[in-house]
Amino acid sequence: MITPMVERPAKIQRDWVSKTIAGTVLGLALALAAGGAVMRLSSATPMIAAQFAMWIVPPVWMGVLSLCYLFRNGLRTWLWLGAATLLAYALLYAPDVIRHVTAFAASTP
Amino acid sequence: MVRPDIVRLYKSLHTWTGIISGMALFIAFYAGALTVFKDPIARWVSPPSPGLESATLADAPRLIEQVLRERPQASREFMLYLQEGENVPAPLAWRELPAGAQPSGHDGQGNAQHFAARITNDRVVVEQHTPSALPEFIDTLHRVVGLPKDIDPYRRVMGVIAALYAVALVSGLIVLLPTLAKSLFALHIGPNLKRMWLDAHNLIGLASLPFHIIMALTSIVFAFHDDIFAIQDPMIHGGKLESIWRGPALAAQPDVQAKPVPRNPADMLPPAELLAKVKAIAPDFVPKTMQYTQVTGPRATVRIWGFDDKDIARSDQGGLVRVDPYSGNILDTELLPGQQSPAAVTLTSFFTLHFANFGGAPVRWLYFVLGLAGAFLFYSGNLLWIESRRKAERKGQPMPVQTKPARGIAAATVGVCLGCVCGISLSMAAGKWLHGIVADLAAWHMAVYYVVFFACIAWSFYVGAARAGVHLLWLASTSTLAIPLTSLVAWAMPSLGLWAYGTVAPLGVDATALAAAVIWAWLARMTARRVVRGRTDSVWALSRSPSL
Repeated sequence: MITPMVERPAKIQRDWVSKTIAGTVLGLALALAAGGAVMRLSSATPMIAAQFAMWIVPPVWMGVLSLCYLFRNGLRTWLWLGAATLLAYALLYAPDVIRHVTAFAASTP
Repeated sequence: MVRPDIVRLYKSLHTWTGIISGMALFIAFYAGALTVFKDPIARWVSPPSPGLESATLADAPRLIEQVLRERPQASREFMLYLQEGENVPAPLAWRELPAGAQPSGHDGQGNAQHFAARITNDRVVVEQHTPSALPEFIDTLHRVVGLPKDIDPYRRVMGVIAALYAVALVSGLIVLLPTLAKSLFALHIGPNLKRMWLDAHNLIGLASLPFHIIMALTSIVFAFHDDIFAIQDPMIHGGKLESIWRGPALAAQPDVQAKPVPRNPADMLPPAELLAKVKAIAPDFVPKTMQYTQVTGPRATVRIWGFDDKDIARSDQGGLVRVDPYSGNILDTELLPGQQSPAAVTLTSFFTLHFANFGGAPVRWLYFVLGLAGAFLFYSGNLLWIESRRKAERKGQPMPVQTKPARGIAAATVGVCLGCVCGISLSMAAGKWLHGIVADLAAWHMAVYYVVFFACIAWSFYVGAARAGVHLLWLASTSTLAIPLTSLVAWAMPSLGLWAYGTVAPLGVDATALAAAVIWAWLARMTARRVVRGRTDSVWALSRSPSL
């Protein structure tokens, strides 16, 4: 009997330690950035928005931590989550950076 | 469809997060279910006192003025109670830190002494009064997963457990996904005990999933909110979080000067007038307590707590409105039921969904049942793991000795879970029996609980889970029966100095404890049958050798 050669997707590597650290550390970083996004985008009073900004941290954090094990291996987890974190913070602080740069440009004679 | 290797991975994750956090979560959920009825328990365990009979609202200004004159520490914070209750000792109450005592606890008042003031024979009488520590202790057990004090380090421990719990929820769901439709209606009741327990575990978990998601997320917030705010302050609030909390109206109050001139509390408007102002803007709001803070300072505030049946409330004390007691100005209505902005209502709903203070009694009973079902989930999860590790008996071979980890987890699960149940029940009964006999009843509540708790664990390891399961279930039944029995004895023999109230809330406590005692006894009998007639190649069988 001839068994046909089938391309199977590579089996998932557990990499418990690597994935867990990535999920915990980068998950928290992403969650805190989500809080920043809430502050910027919310139309509620600052007192209310600041509370939403805190409340969003646990669901985002736990979401990332729980689902990070779906990555094929530890390296990919760090790469993808790391890229996402960098992008999130770039977006978060971009308005401030742009503001400082344009203010500086406007002030130079 | 979810790939089998992913399901296997998540099954491992679910198993380990579940085993590590399961016993702590049992304590949190069992004590939490009881905490839904914190007020009835407080009424049940509080000894008789004159309560609010002694003073009307009209007497309040005189009461306040005299107390502040005699006990200046009360100006930091005092409470004016507006509603009756067996657990309301007097109209006015406050706390003082004795000389040299260190602040401790989540609010810094861990070592404070309690005082209360009433009017007797037209005179203001101040006395030291200690409210029962029992309801707060059960609440503490649930807040910090069985640890003794509600302080930030212990809260963080609870937070880690809650995080493991959140991961266990998601991973459990992923494991169940491939067979979701089949599992939804499966409950194989029959000789295959492991199948039955697994079906029960899955069914209850799935049906109560929204409840568990709420509990996991709110608990993580309760554990880490201060830490999250501390990180977010410089990160996204530019360090201005403190002034954001004070808000615009409070920011209009004068800043604290170098040496603020102390104000005269006699200039404060009478409580009746302040309540009238609140009623004018929120006619359906029923006030329960008035919390006065810093009354001699420039930022004197009174928080009026209460409920409005038509709206949801922030905490188990209700919603609140902040008023300036000197001018009568309403400072802040963000959390006033009936006046909350849509955004504020959404935030309040997060709290309300944890505290079950919406929908009245039916919702409280629902949360009580969900809390107990949750405790069952963690107990059964551990049992399933033990069963999955079971070494089966082979024909012609000697009876296998179950692995040490399996026996250890079995003994620990039985000891911790049933120890918690027995400890709380006996501590409750002790609240009546030891009153007036011991000096520090609060310490005794804790001592009774922890002695019973650790004794149950020790016994379970000594005689093994199978025997201990039966013993501890009978102990759970008798210790829970002690609660209504104590009330019965108190009613029948008044000379003993005990008490029992015939009002709804305390009677409810007695009735529920009676029903629970019956259920524990039934479980004890079922378990006794299992250890004798069940499979002998199991941790749940009485082994031929005496201990482990």
